[in-house]
Parts: sequence; structure tokens; C-alpha cells
Amino acid sequence: MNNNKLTERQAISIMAMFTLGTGMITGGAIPAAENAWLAMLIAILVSFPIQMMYARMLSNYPGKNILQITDITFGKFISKIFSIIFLWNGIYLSALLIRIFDQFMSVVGLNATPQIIIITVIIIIAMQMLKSGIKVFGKWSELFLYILFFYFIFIPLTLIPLLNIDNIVPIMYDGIEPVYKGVLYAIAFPLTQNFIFLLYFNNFKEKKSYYKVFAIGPAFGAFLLFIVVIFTILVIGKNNYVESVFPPYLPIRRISIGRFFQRIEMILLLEYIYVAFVKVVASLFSALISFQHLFNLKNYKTFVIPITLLVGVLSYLTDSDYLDYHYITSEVYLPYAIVVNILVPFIIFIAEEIKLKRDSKKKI
Amino acid sequence: MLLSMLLLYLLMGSVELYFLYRKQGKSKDVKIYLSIFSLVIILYLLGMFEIIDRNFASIIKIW
Repeated sequence: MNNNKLTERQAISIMAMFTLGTGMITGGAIPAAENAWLAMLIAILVSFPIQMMYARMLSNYPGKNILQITDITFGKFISKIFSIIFLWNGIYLSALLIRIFDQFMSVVGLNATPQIIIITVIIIIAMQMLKSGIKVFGKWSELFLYILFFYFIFIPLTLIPLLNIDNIVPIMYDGIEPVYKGVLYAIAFPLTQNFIFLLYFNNFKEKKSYYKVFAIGPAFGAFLLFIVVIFTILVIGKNNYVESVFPPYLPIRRISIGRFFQRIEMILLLEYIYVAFVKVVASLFSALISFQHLFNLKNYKTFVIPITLLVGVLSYLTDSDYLDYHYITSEVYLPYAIVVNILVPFIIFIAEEIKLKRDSKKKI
Repeated sequence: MLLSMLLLYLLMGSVELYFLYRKQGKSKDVKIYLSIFSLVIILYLLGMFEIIDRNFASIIKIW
């Protein structure tokens, strides 16, 4: 059995949950404040050509991942440099995500639990998933996406009495600039982070599957994130949305049906944990596959434990104060993400297209 | 607590490394494994004794 083969539906599930990911915890397009919902919609449209670029890169060489493609287009040496960039990005992103996950668990429930314990539990579960392989990860994500639908049916319905339309009008009162910043933020975090799937979404039978997966997956995940964002703003308002550490968690704390059905956030918290876990595991997979390519290894599974432990330690060392982290994501991560998530794949894409054209001319 | 987790990390890594060594001898995989695992333990110790600051997220400021 090929352990790396995913069906289209599994790939779409992983990608949708990845896009929703930690955005479900931290909120999306935050700089746009009350217009974050609008920024999310614009970001989905703007990022669509980028997703199609990712799909074309893989469909040009079916069965090969991005690093194998760079071997062909740039040669072995430059390909190793790309491996280092992707390995770094996988490790850095995983460490950041585990830190968000850990902080979220500390704030909402496990206030007295040391940070290192939460991190260790997360990485041990992630190790099990990584050792099981991409196929199991795909099946798991598909199952939990169905469970996630419960959240997206139940939460909006129960929040209807709390909605206040005044929280989102007037639209663009502060001009276009906050919306523009929000769009950029949403593109960087999370809409183009899914370039990591170029490393292991390479085993589809048909070329059109790549386009389908990269078109539907992120758009569906971002649409779910849009629902989270708009309902959060409608309930808690602009100021709380911008200033809170985990804004989407605030509305679900207010859910109360007929006085007897309340304080259900602990059950709904599970949904947040599943989604964030998918994102952590997906980025760890990208780190491992880059590592395998960098050292010409037969199998990445041997290195699951050391790489995951490394990510765990780095996530502990990420920051001592979560407020620092907020500054990093909003000010420093944005240009970094644009370069690593868009510019680097774009360079590879251009080189690949030139190589393909030259090869087709030679054949003629 | 940090010490307990250090012991857990040591246990997890060294047990797998031992089995890998028994299976493959001094192979490339074992050497790479040992290097990364040593890096993990060194970083952990540096963090535990607060020799390095906990600001890994800021590393991309170099950018």
C-alpha cells in the first residue's frame, strides 16, 4: 500500500482544516477590525491565482513534489538551498503554531498547567500521527471535517439572538487602508501558508485533481473562517475583536439556551483543538519531507521523534510573553510570509515554465 | 517540571536511537539522528537554565 496516496476529498479536507486552522482561535484579517469579514472575502479572491500557480507547479510534473521539481529545474545544489528554506519554514511555522495552541489551552482551561507539559502532550500526539503517515492523516482530517460541520451549524444558530448589526456598519468607515492591511494579513496568515502542501500533495492520478484540491480546499477553509470572523464581530464588536487575544472564543462563552443549556464552551473547545492540531501536523509533515530531501534519506519516519522534539523545544523558546508574539505575527511575520509563501514558489514556478518551454522546443 | 520533561525527551530519543543503532550500526541515519537529538537536548538545557532568551519567534527580525 502506498502510504502517501491521498484521495481528492482527503486532500481537500486537510487543506480546508489547515486554512481554518489557528485562524479559528486567533481570528482572521484582524487589522481590518470591523471590516475583517470583507477583507476575508477579498483575500479569498486575491489568493485564488496564487493557489492556481501552486496547482500548476505540481500538475506540470505529476507524482513529483516541489523539491523533486527543483532538482529538475535548478539542479541538485540549488535544490538543497530550497530544501533548507522549506525545512526552516516547516520548523518555524510548527513552533509558532504549537505556541498558539499551548497559549490557547492555558488561557481557556489549563491555567495552572506548565507550558512545557502542554507542548509535550501536543508533540507526542503529533508524533503518533506523523509515524502513521499522510494517508492516515488524510482519513483523520476527512472524518473530523464532518464533525466540524456540527460546530458550523450549531454555533451560528445559537448566536442569532446575540447578533448586533451595528457592529459591522458603517462599512469602511476608516477608509480603504485597514481593509487593505487586513487582506494582506489574511493572505499571509493563513491563505498562502498552504504552499507547504507542494511538498506532499503530489500523488493524484489526474492533472485536474491538483487544480480541484488547490481551488476548493483553501476557498472552503477560508469561507468557514469568514463565518467565524463575521459572527465574532457581530457578537463582540470591533474593539473586542481587535484587542482580545482569542476573539472567536468570546462569542461561544455567551451561548445560553433557556438558562439550562450554557457553559458549553468546553465541548466546543474540542473543535478548536482538532483544527489547530491538523495545522500543526501538516506543517510538521512539510518539515520532515524537506529534511528527507535535504539529506537524501529513504524514509522520513525514522526522524519523526528528533524533529518533533526539536520543534517542541523551539516552541517553548518561542517567547516568554504572548504579547510579544502578537507583535511578531502582525509586524514581522507578514513580510516573511510574503517572501517565503509567495515569492519563493513564484521563482520556482517561473523557472519551471521556462524549463518546460525549452524542453518542448527541443522535442520539436 | 522542566527536569521531568527533559528526562522524558531523553528517554524517547535515546530508546529509539538505541534500536536504530542495533538495526543499522553506524549508518548515516544514526549519525544524523544523534546530531539532531543532541541539538534538542542542548537547546533544552540552554532554555532550562535561562542561558538563552526565550525569543525564538523574533529570529525572523533578521529579515
